[in-house]
Amino acid sequence: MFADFDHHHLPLGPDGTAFEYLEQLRDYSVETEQQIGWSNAHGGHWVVVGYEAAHEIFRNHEAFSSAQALLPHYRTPGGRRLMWAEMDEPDHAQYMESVRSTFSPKSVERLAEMLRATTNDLIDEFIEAGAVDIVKGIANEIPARMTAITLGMPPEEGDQYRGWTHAMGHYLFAGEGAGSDELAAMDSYWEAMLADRKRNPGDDLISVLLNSSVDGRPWTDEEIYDSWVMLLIGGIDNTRNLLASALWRLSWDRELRRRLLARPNLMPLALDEFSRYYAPSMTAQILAKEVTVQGVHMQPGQMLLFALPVINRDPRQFTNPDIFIPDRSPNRHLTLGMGIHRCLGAHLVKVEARVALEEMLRRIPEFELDPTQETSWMQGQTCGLDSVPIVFPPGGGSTWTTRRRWEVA
Amino acid sequence: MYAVEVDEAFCVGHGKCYLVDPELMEPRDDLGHARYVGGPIDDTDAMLLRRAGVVVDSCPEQALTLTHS
Repeated sequence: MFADFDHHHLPLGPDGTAFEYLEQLRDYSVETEQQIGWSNAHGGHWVVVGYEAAHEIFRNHEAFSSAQALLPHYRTPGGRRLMWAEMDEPDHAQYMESVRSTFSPKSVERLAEMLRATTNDLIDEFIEAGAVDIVKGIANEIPARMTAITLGMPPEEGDQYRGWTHAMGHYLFAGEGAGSDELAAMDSYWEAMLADRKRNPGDDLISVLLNSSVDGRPWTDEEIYDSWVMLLIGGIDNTRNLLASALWRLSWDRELRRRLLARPNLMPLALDEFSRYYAPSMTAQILAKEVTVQGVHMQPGQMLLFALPVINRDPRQFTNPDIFIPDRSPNRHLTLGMGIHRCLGAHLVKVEARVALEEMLRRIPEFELDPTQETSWMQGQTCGLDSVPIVFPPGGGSTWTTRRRWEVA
Repeated sequence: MYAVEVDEAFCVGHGKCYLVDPELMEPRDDLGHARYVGGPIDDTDAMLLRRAGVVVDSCPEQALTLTHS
């Protein structure tokens, strides 16, 4: 099963997601006792599916480098490596210094009230209609807005920002020319934004970088551009996929929804379980040295993909891995990575997702998948549901009789 | 007496330990690195020892240990 594994073409099951296939891959790995296998896709690369192997690899900074973390690489500005994500030490720590406090637990907690207001504004837009694509209505919007605010950009232009990040990876699915207009537009937008920010600094992250130093000298314009791009890439789609999966699950898992409504203090642990169960992305590394891990011999220059959704279902690490246990504890999943590259937005995503789910459940306690529409799935290193149409009693409503009324009509 | 020890070589601030038990662990800096704030745990305090064990197991980095002194 390893040979055919292609993260751009994961087979979808009857539920419209790739999770059934990923569970089968996990089963295969357990039966054959292989935690690492070779895929022939994308020029050939290793795929890690076992928790122990992943842990060992993340810890081995000698043999495994983050110099390439995208497979294949996106069309980044100047073809340059991703800021922070594609750096090893000591560069990584030096460049991280300037942004640490923006993403600290304290800083992100301060955003919670604003997030709550934003979420409610978004819900106001569709609550009377009784129907919405939860991705368009909430899951796309929240992370796009938060990323925009962090970067000092208009929060309501999320479609544009998403368009740029998709264009950077789009050619991988749609051919060489695909997305080049968006990329040109992104370049122009950035040039204008940077010039403006130099004249009128604010308290956004770009202004912070313009005023920071790295390795004893100012950040270059190129490095700031790369930071902006990295935050767009990292800040939007991953969170979107997580929110989409959680809301999709809550659409049909009524027992889970009731449980979370009855015990709201379960939400932080439940979110962690959503993160484990529906891991929204897979990261990669490149071999720097010859090494043997779990009996598998790897050569320098080879790429290695961490199939995080599979790793997180490893029965050797997680009891009953395919059961969604909202208060699962301990839950040391690897969705946010491990080691120096653990997701910079780890604390921010928790706040975004917690507030989004709390408000959705509070305002619309009963919702279901729209039986007349299909969901859709986006492939790639960041993968997940990108369209989840739902229906609910117009106005939200929460009584059983209200629900019966619209169901019958 | 027992306590939870944080190996600073491995803690990278996931924050799962203080998510799981904010009474025993809390963030100590911008990156969210953790510190133990629970105080010494008596050898006979089974409940607290179990809580501490759950906290230790919550770390993806395996940066926490239950140490005895």
